[in-house]
Amino acid sequence: MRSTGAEKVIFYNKLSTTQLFNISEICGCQVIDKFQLILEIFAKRATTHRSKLQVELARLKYEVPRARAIVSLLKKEERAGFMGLGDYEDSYEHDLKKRIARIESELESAKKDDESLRAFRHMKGFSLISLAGYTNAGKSTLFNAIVNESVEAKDMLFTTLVPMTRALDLGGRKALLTDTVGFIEDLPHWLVDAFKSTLEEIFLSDLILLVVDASEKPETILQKLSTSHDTLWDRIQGVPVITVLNKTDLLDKSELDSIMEQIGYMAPNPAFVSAKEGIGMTALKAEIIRHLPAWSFCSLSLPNSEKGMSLLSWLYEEGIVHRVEYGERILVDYEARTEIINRAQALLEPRED
Amino acid sequence: MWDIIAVDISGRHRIKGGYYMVCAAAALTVSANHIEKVRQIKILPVWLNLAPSLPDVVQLIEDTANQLSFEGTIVAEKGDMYNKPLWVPESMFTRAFKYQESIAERRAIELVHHISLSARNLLINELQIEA
Repeated sequence: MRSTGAEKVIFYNKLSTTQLFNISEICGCQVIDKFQLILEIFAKRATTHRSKLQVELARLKYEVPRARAIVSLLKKEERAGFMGLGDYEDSYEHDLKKRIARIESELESAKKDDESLRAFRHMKGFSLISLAGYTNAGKSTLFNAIVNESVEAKDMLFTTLVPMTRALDLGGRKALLTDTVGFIEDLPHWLVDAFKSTLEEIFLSDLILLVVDASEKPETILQKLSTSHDTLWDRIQGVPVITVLNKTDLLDKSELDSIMEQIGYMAPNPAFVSAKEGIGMTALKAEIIRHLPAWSFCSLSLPNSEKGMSLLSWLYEEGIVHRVEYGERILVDYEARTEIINRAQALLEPRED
Repeated sequence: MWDIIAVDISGRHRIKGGYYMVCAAAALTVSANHIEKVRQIKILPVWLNLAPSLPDVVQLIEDTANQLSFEGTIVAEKGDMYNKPLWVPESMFTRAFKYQESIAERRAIELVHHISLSARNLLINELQIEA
C-alpha cells in the first residue's frame, strides 16, 4: 500500500463485512471485493431506467445482510433513542427492505412484459437466436456485424446491460438475434437481475452462438469456455451451440490452427469470424441456418378464390413460398414450421358438416 | 474425436450398516458436443463399512476402468472427488484424469450417472439389501 500509494484495494475473493471493515482500518483506504467491483462497473454503465433499478436492487440486496453489522460497527459508542435504549440497526435494515420490495415489484412487471413478448415472437414463427459469451468477447460487435446496425460496442467490460433484440433475415427465414450480458467466472446470478434476464433469454432460445475471443491465450479461452458451459449446461439440454471464434483478424492461419488443436474438444460447431472486419459472416450465417429448427416442405393446393388468396398471403407471412402457380386452383410449394403446415392443411380440408 | 472413460459413483450415503456403492464406467468416443460412439460399459459394486475417502473413490474408479478393454482419459464430476482442485485427484490416478468440461463430456457423465444409479437400484432390490 505504502509503496504504490493505492487509493483502493480490490480482493478477488468474497469478503465478509468484518473482514472488509478490518482490512480498510489497516489500509486506511477503501476496500472492496469482486462482487462490489462488478456492481460499481454496472452502476457506471447503467443508463436506462430498468438497468438503473437493477443496479440499485443489487446494491441493496448486497447490503442487507451487512447492514446490521456495518451500522453496529460504525456506531459502537452511540446509543439511539430515549436514554439510549433504541438501536440504529433495525430502522436502517427496515428502510433497505422496504426499498427492495418496491423495486422488485417494478422489475417484476417488466419481466412479465418480456415473457409475453417472447411467447408472441415464437408464435409468429420467429426463431430465437442468442449471443452468449464471456464479457468483452465482442458479442455486441458481432451483433452489429450480423444485423448491420450500430449497438454501442466498446473495448470494455459489460457494455451491454439489458438484452437487446433485432430481427434478422436468414435466406427467407425470420429470426430474432439477442445480444446479452457477458458472463464472468463464479457468475453471481443473485447479484444483478440483468444476469437473470440474460440467462432466461439464452435458455429459451432455439440456437446459441457462444462467442469467444480467439486472440487470447488458449488456456484463457479454455477457462472461459468452461465457465460458459458450466453456466449454460443445466438448462439448455438439446439446444445446439455454435462456437464463434471472434477477433480472428489478429491471428494468422497457423496460430489459429494451433489454437483449434488445443481448444477443439471444447468448441462445438466452430465458426471463425472477425466481427470488426466483417470476415466470415456468410459462413456463420450458413452455419446458423443449418442449426435452426428444421422446417418441412409441402405442396399445397388452394382454391382460386378470395379465401384462397387470403390463405396464400398468410402463408407468405409465416414461411417461405418457393413456387406459386395460378390456375383453376393455386398450387404452392411451401416451406415452414410443422405447426404452420398442419394448420394450413387443416384449413384446406373440407369440413364434414 | 477423443476417447474418454466417463465414470460416476452412486450410493455414497450411509444405509444400514455401511455404504453400498456402484461405480459405472463407459468407454466413449466423443466430439465437442456429442457422444459419437459407446464402446463398452462396465459396473462395479463395492461395500464399505466406513465412509469412503478420496483414495477409496480413486481406487474404485481405477478398478472399474481397468475392466474396460479401451483406453482413454478418465472424466468425472468434481463432486465425486469431494470438490478437490484438479491436481489432487490427478496425482492419485495412474491414468490421465480430468474433470468434465465440454458439452459432450457433461452428456457422458449424465449417461454413466443413470447407469450407476439404476444398476445400484436393481442390485439393492435383487440382493435385498435394506436401504
